[in-house]
Amino acid sequence: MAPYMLSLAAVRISTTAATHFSIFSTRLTLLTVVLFLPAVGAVIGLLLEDERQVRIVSVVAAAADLVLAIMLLLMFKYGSGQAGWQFQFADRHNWVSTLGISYWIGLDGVSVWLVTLTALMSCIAILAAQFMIADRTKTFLIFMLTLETALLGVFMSLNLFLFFIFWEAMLIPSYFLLGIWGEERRVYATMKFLVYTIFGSFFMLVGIFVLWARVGTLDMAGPHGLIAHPVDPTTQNWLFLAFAIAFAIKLPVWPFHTWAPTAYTESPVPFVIVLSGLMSKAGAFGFIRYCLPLFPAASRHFAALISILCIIGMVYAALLALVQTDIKRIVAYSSISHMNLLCLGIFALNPIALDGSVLQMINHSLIISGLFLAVAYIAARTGTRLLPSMGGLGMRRPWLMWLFFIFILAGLDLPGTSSFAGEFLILLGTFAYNAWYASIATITVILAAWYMIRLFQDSMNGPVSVAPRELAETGLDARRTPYQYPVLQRLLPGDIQLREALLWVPLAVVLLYLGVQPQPVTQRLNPTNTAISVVVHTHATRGPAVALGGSP
Amino acid sequence: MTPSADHFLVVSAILFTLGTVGVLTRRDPLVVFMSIELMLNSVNLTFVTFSHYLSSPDGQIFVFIIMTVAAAEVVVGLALIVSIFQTRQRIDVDELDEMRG
Amino acid sequence: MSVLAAATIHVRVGASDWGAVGPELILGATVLVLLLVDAFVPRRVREVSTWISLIALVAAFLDVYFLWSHGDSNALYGQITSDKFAIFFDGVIIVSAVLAVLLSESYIVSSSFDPGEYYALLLASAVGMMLMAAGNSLMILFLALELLSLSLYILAGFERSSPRSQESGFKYFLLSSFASAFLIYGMALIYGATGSTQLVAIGHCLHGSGCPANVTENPLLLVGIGLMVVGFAFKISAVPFHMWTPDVYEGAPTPITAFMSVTTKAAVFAAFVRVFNFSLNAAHSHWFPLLWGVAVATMIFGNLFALAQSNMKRMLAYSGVAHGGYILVALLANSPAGATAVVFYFLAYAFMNIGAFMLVSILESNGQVGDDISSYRGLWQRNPFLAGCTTVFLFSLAGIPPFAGFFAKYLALAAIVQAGHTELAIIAVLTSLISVYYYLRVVVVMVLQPGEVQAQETRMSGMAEMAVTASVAGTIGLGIIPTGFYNLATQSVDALRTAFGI
Repeated sequence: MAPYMLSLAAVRISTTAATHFSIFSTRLTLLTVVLFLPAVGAVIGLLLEDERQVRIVSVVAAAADLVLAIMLLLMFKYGSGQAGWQFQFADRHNWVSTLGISYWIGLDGVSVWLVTLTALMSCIAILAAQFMIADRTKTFLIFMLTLETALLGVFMSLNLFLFFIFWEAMLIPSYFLLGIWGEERRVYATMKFLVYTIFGSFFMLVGIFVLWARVGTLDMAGPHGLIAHPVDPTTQNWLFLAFAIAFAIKLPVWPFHTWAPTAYTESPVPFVIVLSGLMSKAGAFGFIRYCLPLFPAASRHFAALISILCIIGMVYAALLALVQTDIKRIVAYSSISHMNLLCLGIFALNPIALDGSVLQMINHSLIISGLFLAVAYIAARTGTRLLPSMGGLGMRRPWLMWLFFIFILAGLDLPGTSSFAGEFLILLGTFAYNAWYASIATITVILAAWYMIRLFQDSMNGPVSVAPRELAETGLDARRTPYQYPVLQRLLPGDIQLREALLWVPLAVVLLYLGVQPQPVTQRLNPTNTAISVVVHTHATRGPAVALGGSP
Repeated sequence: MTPSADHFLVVSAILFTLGTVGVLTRRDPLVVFMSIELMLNSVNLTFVTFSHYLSSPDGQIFVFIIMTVAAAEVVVGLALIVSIFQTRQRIDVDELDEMRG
Repeated sequence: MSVLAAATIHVRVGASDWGAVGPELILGATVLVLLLVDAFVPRRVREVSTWISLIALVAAFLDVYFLWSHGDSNALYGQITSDKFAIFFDGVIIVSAVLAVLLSESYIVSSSFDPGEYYALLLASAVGMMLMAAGNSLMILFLALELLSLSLYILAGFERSSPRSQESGFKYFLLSSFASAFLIYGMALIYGATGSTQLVAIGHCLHGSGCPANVTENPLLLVGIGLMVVGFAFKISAVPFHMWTPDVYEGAPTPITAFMSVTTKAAVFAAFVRVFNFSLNAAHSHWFPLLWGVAVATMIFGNLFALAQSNMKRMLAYSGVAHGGYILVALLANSPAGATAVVFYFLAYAFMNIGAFMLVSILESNGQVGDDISSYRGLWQRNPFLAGCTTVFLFSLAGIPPFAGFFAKYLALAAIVQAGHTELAIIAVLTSLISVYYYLRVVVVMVLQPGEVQAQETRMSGMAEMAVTASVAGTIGLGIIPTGFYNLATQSVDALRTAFGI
C-alpha cells in the first residue's frame, strides 16, 4: 500500500554526517568542495593573463568537479531502509544566525542527481566553449565557471536565504554570457530575460521575508525548520504564488515563457546548454523542493490551476515548434513544451509522477543540449538556420546524421530511450490525478513526434540545397567562429569533426543507458519523492490522498 | 489687555507663512533670501514665546544659535549671489535653468 | 523677570566631554590647519593638503575605533552623545570622506581648484555630519545640519568658472535654507509641546513622565512633527521635496556629489532615526501615515524619474532618491531591526554609491565627458578594471546578490515585513525592478556595446585606483560576509535603546 499515506511524523527529515577532509587544517566537506571548485577555477582564471592557461584551468576545474560529483552520486545512500527524507553530505555553518541565515548545504535523492547533471552539462558546455567561442574566451570561461557554482548552490542549499543568493547569482554571469556573446538581438534578449527573472525572484524575496517573520528561521530541514512548520493555509496561498511566479518564469510555464524563445535563440551555444539544460531545471527543482513541502495546502489548492497552465503551455509551444522555420527556435519551443509537461508531472503531487518529472529533467537536459549542439553543427555547415533553405545534409555526412538521429528519437520519446520512461511515469502519475489532463498531455507526445521528424527530415534528407541566400557575406568578424555567426567564407566542410562528436557522445551514451536502465535513477529518487508527497498530503484540509502504489 | 502665548504664536505663524509665500512667489534671489530670513525670525519669536511661558532657558539659547547661523547663512548666500552676478549680470531664479532632465 | 536670571548655570566641561567628541575635534582642528596651510605654504607644495586631510581622517577613524571599545558616554550635559549609534555613523562618514579625498586628488588638479579651501570645507561638512549623528538635542541637530549644509553650499558651487556649478550651489543654498526654516519651526513647536529640546527628555515626556496627559494629541506637537518631516524629507530628498537633487548633483564637482549623496543622507537619517524612532516613538501613530506616503511616493517616483535620464549624475541622483525611499521603509518599521537596517544600509551605500560616481569623476579627471551615459561605449575594452568595478557597484545598487546592496535591502525589507507592513515590501521590490532596468542599461552601454577603435585612454591616478579598489572590496565583502558589521549595527542600535529606555 502507498507508503506516502503515512503521517508526517513518519517522515524523518534528517541530515547525515558529511564526508570531510582537511586542507591547511580547515575542515572542508566534499560537498563544499564540489560547490566552490568551479568558483575557485574562475578566480584562478581571473588572475591568469594567458588565455591558454585559462582554458586549461577551466577544463580541469569542470572535469574535476564532475568526477567529484559522480563520487557523490556513488556514495549517496539509498535503499529500503532509508524511508525518510534525508539530506546527506550536509555541511552547516552559522552565517547571520539572528536572521535565521545559515550556510547549510546537503543533498537529497532529487538534488544529488541535479548536482551531477549540472557538473556534467557544465563540463560539456565548457568544452564546447573551447572551440565555439573565439572572442574573449577567457572572460567567457570565467563566467561559465561562476555560473556553474551558482547552479550547484541552487541545488545544494538547505537554507532559503542561501538558496536565494545562488538563485540570483545565476543571473549575473548569464547577463554577460548572453549579452556579450549572443547573436544580433542579444541586448534585447538579455534585458527581457533579466527583467522577467528578477521580476519573479523579487516576489520570492517578499515571500522569504514573510516566512522569516512567521517561522523565525530560514533553515529548511531540522526539527525547527520550515518544512516542519508550515504556515496557515491563507498565508500559504499567497506565499505559494510568490514563490511559484519565480519558478514558473524560470521553468518557463505558460504564460510566463515569452522571454525564453528569444533568450534561447540569441544565446551562444555553450550558454544555451546551461540555460535550457540546467537553469530551467532550477525552476522545476524550486517547485519540488520549496513550493510543495513548504506550502502543502496551497500546492493542493493550486495544483489544478498550474496543471492547466502547463497543459496550455505544452500544446501551445508544441504547435509553435511545428510552424517555426528557424531550427534553433524549433528546439527552443520543443524545450518549452517538454518543460511544461515535466511541470505537469510535479503537480500531479504523487511519487510516480514526481519520479517521472525528475527523470525527465535529466533526459530533457541531455536531449535539449544535444539538439542545440546539432543546430550549431548544422548552421556551421550550411550557414543558415532556416529549414526551407537546407536539405540533404545527411547525404554525405552519415555520422552527423546518425548521431543527430539519436537525439531526435529521444526527443520524440521513443521507447528504448530514457525519455520514454520519464514521460511514461509522468503520464501514469498524472492519469491517477486527473485522467483528462493526462489525455491532453498525450497529444503533445504526438506533436513532438511531428516536429522532431520534420526537423530531421527537412534538414538531413531531401534534395541537397543550393547555397543559402540569406548568408551574410559582409561584416566578416574575424573574432567569431562559425558556430556563433556563420559566414560564407568560413563554413565547415564535410562530416562531423571529432571534437564535435566528443561533445555529443557522452550525452548519447547516458541517454541510451538510462533508457535501458532507469532504475538507478528512480531508486534514489523515490524515497525523497515519496516523502515530499507525504508532506504535501499530510496537512490535509480536504479529500483523501491519491491512492496509488509506491515505487514503480 | 495682556497678550497671551497664543497671540505671539499666531503672529509668528503669520510671519512664517508670509516668509513661505515670499520664497514661493518672488523671483529676485535677494528677496527670496530675505523671505527665508523672515521665516527664521518668526521661528525665533516662537522660541522666545515658549521659553517665556515654559520658564525654560532652552528656547532662548536656541534663538542665539539661530541668529548666529542666520548670519553665517547671509555670508555664504551673498557670496554665492555675487559670484553668480559676476558671470551673468542679471539674476532671476527662473533663469537658473542650465540643467534640465 | 528673566528666566535666565533665575537659574545660575555652572558650566563645567571636562576631559571626558572633549573625549566624547574626539573625532569631531580632530577634524575641526584640521580644518583650521588646512586654512593656515593655504595661507602660508607656497603654491607648488599645496598638494600637502591632501595628505594632511587623509592623515586627519585616519586619526579620526582610529579615535572612532577607540571610542567604540570605550563605551557610550555623553558630553556637554547630554547635548552630544558618543553612543555606539553615533560612532557607527562617524565611521561611515569618515570612510566616505576618505573615499572622496582619494577621488578628489586628481580631480582638483584637472579642475585647478584650491586644495586647502576645498579640503577644509570637505572636512568641515564631515564634522557637521558627525555632530548630527551625535546630536542628542534639537539645538545640536540644527547647528550640525547648518554646519554641514553651509560647507556643502560652497563646495557645490566650487567650480567658479562653470555656470552649472554656480547654479548648483545657489539652488542648493536657497532650497536647503528654506527647508531648514521648516525644520526649526517644527523643532520650536515640539519644544513648545514638550518643554524640552533634549531628545531623551522629549522621549520621556511623550511616554508620560513629567508632561501633561494627552501630550501626544497636542496639536502643537502634531504640527511640529509634520514640519520636521517636511524639513527632513527635504534634506534626504524624498519625493515631493526632491526637486533640487538632480540639479545640485549634476552641477556640483563630482567627488563632492559622490560624498554628499551618501553622507548628508547618512547624517540626516541618523538624526531621523534618533528623533522619530526613539524620541518621538510614542507619537508613532501620528508620523507613520505621513512617512508612509512619503516613502511610497519616493520609491515610485524616484525610480520612474531615474528611468528617463541619459546623464549618469542625474540618474544616480534619482536613484539616490529611490534609495532614500527604501531606507525610509526601514525607518517605518519603527523597530530595532529597522533601525539596524538603516545603519547597515548606509555602510553598504557608502561603498556602492560613491563607487558608482567614481567612474564619472575619473573620466572627468581625464578631461573626458564623464556624465553622459552614451559616452561609456566600449569602456570594457578601454579600461576593464574600471568597467568591471562600476558593474559591481551598479549590480549592488540594483540589489542583486551577492553584493552589499542586496543584504542592506534585505534587512530593510525583512524589518518592515516583520513589522507587519508587507505592502511596503511589495512596493519596494516592484520599484527595485524598475531600478534594475536603468542600472543595467548603463552596464549594457559600458560592457555590451563596442566602442570606437581609437578611443581615448582612461587613466587612473594611484589614489583613484585605491578608492575604486576599496569600494569594490567593501561592496563585495559586505555582501558575502555581512555578519560582523551586522552585529556592530545591532550593537549600535542597542545603545540607542538603552539611552531612550525603549
